Amino acid sequence: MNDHKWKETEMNNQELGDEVEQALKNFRASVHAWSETELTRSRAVKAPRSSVWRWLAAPAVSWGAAAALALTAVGVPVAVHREHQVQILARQHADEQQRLRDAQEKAATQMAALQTAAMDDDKLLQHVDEDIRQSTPDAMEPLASLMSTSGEE
Amino acid sequence: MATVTTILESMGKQAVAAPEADFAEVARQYRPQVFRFLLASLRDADTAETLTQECLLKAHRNWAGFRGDSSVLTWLLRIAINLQKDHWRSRRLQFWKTTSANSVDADDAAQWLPSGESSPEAQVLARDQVRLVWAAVKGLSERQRTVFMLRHVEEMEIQEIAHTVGLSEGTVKAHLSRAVARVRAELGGKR
Repeated sequence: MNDHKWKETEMNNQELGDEVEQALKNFRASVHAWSETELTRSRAVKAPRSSVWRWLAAPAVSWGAAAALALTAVGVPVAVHREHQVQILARQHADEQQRLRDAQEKAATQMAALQTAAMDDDKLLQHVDEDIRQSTPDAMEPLASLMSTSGEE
Repeated sequence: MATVTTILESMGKQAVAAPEADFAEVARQYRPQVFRFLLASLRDADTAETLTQECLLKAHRNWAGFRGDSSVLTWLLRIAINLQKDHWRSRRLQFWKTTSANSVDADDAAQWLPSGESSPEAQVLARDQVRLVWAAVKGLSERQRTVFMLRHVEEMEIQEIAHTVGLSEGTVKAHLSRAVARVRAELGGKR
């Protein structure tokens, strides 16, 4: 300590009073002794944290991360559940659509079968008519022509 | 060109520093003072050591930008004070409060006395006085404590303290006055 500083300290200490001065002197000596002992003591020094870790350890970031974690913990299961529900609904819809398509196809097949059957009936009737026409005796021909003429009237 | 030695000799008082000065030498010279200040402020040797390392690391990174407007010690202590503030702030708002309180009690801190030639009675008296000063320091605000430590442990001048903590000299004197009044009250009350 230089002279100027020493004089200033002495002057201030006089203002402080003897007991306070002595106490502060002892306090200073005590801290210096403690510090010297601690400096020479071997201890495992933690490596300075990287800037990334310091950033992560910042209170605002910690609280933000905690909030995000809580949000994720609640949000992810809810989202997964909703996704599952949507998938189930989509599957049900697809099944319903398939059922409708099947029913339509079945109806169309039945209709075609009915149409085919109807055509067969027409052929049969035509055949019967032809047969009947052929089996009419010659003697009845004038009567038949007469019936047709009266029918037209 | 100034040599490293002359720069270091003048660094304690004057605003002189050159970029070519070896930072390792600066760290070697000022590490004990920075550590002592942090130890007295925190009463936790491990945290003081960690913050000292961080302070020197930060100083090393910014060494090229150090213009020498203040002494190297003032500059280093300013970094240390900011790190200490960050430390307390993060402790207050820490989400995961895993770090245990390592700071030693005022009674334990008072056990440290230089092995002088004084009598056992004088040693006991001194220890008691140191304990009472620690008790008074415990009741000081963060700023008052910093100013008190810089003045009465590091023996810095008022002007230097004002420059280090970024306060006016008047404010520093007011803080010191309150701190000493508390020490006086503690010493008077326990007599």
